[in-house]
Order: sequence, then structure tokens, then C-alpha cells
Amino acid sequence: MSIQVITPPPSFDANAWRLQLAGLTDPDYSTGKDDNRSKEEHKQWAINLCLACCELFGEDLDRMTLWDRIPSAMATASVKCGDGDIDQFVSLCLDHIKADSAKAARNDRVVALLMGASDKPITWRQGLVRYIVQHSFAIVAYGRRDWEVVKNDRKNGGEA
Amino acid sequence: MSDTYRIVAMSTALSPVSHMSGTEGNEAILNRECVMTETGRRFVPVLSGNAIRHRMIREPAGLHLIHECGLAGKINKRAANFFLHGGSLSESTARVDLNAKMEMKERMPFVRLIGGALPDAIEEGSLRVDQGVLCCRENASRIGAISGLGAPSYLRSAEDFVGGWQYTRSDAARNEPDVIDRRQPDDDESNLMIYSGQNVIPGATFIHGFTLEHAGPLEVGCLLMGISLWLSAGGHIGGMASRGHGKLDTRLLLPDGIDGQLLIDTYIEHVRANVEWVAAWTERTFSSVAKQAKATKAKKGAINVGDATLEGIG
Repeated sequence: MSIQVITPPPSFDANAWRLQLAGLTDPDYSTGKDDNRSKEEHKQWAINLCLACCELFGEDLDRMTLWDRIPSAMATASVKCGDGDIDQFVSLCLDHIKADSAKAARNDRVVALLMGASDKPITWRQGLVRYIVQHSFAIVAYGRRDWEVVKNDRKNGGEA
Repeated sequence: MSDTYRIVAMSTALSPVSHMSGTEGNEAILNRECVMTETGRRFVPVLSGNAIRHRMIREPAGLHLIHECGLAGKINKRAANFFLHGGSLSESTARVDLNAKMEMKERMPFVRLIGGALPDAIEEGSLRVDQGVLCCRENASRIGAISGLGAPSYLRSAEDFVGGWQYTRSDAARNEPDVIDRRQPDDDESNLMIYSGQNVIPGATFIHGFTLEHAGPLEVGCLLMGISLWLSAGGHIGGMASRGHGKLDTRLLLPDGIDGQLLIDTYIEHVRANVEWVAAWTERTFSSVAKQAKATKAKKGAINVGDATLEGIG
């Protein structure tokens, strides 16, 4: 049997411990309160993205696939935007549903989505992407419900 | 001289940790414990003390003892199970020979540290292993207490550290049809299966610890050596290690005045000085029991003393 030198396991100290935990903190909860405010904002943002996608759904695509394409758009965009780049996230989603760029530029919902996320801290934006990944089915269900309301309002001549 | 030692460990996941509690359908479910938090009950991923004890200490230290004492390939299953899995009590009557017991404990710090079930007695070890507590918001107050170093209350939620994986088992009939002799009788059932599971994501950190009650430096040396050997062998815990899961970076916070290298070297020297005794003890303790069990089984036909179970009754 070969001679094996066994060295002790690596060590850590109080400073290393503090640094380790600092990387695991959540600035959203720096008050220590679990108030769910961010989650509500994430949910509404995701629903509004669904509505924007419904409005901008590519004319080349079959509208029967609307609720297949929107979740797949969000799923593929989420993978690429875990860093919280919401401008890229929205762009990838619109690209996936083959939205017309001129219509997208004029769409108030898209502008509101981009502006709404741009002034939020990075942790909020990363949390948004994480929320969309973890709640994909619920988002689509809420999105479809709200889209029906928008359609009915438009039928009745109201502003949506 | 005996003392109580407290060693704190910080284990960071270097790959997805799949320490499971079971499966639902084709999905493996993470091992979780229920924790009471300010906002109610939460189920939080946890590394069991049982897994830590076995993977980090008993198995590597037991294998070391077996190889160092030249026992590999020479011991029976009972002895191997004692060294590597804690053994099982198999004799119906316990024998207490205090002198023999004291000598065994003196010669084998491994047993003194981790204990185990001998055929005729259960030996308690001095080691108390903590569970691996995930460093998350739900556990904030606990991890401060376990580490003794405090912890902020605004850590990320446990669910932020939970991810998932999905793999596919393929079907030879689809991928490599030419290797199959279709004339042979076989079922047409597909081997194709998608299976998935939850995991604790890389970067997550667990805090845990080891307490040695009324122990000596040799036991601490044995513990440190076990963890070192486990780390150098990859440092895996939980399932799916064959697919790269469960790799941990474990670091220790040793009590003041402990020289880890010295303790490990002293323990190894102690083992080498007792090689012959350990080999003889192993033969004496386990082989004779096996022979006796076999003889009794053959004689009585009905009662298997070796496994302490009744067979063939009625």
C-alpha cells in the first residue's frame, strides 16, 4: 500500500463565515419582514407581460397557439436573463412571439413594463425572473383570465 | 484525559445536492424538516445527521482502519458491517467483560469515537453529529446558535436555494437498433423514461457540527482524518453522486489549541502500533460468532442465532 499523507480538512474563521453569509442575504428582506410585497409586484408585472404578448402576438403565427407560445417565450427568456436584465427579457419574449417591432414600440404596456422594472434594484429584477420561472402555470392562468376581461371590455367599447 | 470538543463545519454545495426523502412518481423529493418560523411552519431542506455521520466519518475512517490493519479481503460480512455500517446486535445474550471492553476502546479510538453494535453488545461512541442546517432565512436563529458566530436575519428564503434537474433514460431499440436480435423473444415495452428531482443548488451553504463528549485527542484525530479522506475522495453526500451531484466544500472551525495535522498523525501512528491486536480482535469477535451461528443453525434448524431472528417456525 502506498504511503498517503493525510492533511487536515481546510478551516474557516469568523470573518470567512460572515463573508459567506453576506453572499446569501436577501436585500428585499433587510428589515427582517416577510411582507410579500415584491411577490405581488412580480405577479402583476408577469400578468401584464402576458397581456402585452397577447396584443403583439405575431400575425404569422396561429393564434390557437397563443397560450403555448407565451409560456414558452417566458421560459426560454428566463433561462437567459437570470442576471435580472429585464430589457433583454422583454425583448426575447417579444421575439419569441414574433411581435412586430413598430407595434411593440407603440405599445403602452410594453413601455410600462420596461419603465416599471428599470428603476427597481437588481435583486427585485432577479427576483422577478425567478418568480416567473417558479410560477409559470399560475401566471398563464391569471394572464388568460385578464386577457378575457380586456377582450370583453373592447367588445363593449371600453378602453382596456 | 478526556474532554469535550466542539467542531463547527461549514459545507458549501459545489454541485446540486440531491439528498432525498423519497420519490413521487418519477420525481425525487428533497429531504426536508419542518421548521417553525415567525410566519408559521416551513419545510426546509436538510442534510441528515445520519448521512453526515456515515459519509464523512464512519465509512472513510472504517475503510482506513480495514486497509491499515491489512483486513481487506480477510474479514467476514459481520466485521465489514461493523466497521463500515455500525454492525448489528446478533447474540441473544449480552456479555460484559469490562477488561476486554476497556482494552478494545483503548486500542481502537475508532470504536470509541463512533461506536457500533458488536455481536454481543452495543458500544456507544463519543461522537454527536449535528444535522446539516441550510443557511436560509427560516433557519436564521438556529444557524446563529449552531455556529456560535451569529447570523443575519435577512438571509434568502429556503426556496431560493431549491432547484431541479431532469434526466432521460433512453431506449436501445430506438437509439441502437442494430445491436438487438429481433428474433429473440422480448417485450415491446419502451425503456425510455424521463425522471427528475429536486436539489439544493450549488452555492447554498449548510452549517453543522460535531461534538465529542468525554473524548481524547485520538478520537479527534480519527474524526479529522475521516473528514479529510472523505474530502479527498470527492466529498459527496446524498444521491446521484454518479452524475456529479452532492459535492461539498467542507471547512472546519476547530477549537483553540487544536493542531489538526498532529492529531491525525498521532491517530495513524496509534492504528499502526495496534495492527496485530486489531486483526486478532476482529477474528476473535466476528469469526467465532459466525461459526457458532452456523453450527447452531445446523443443529437446531429453526433458530438463527446469528441474525437473532426466528426462522422456520410452524
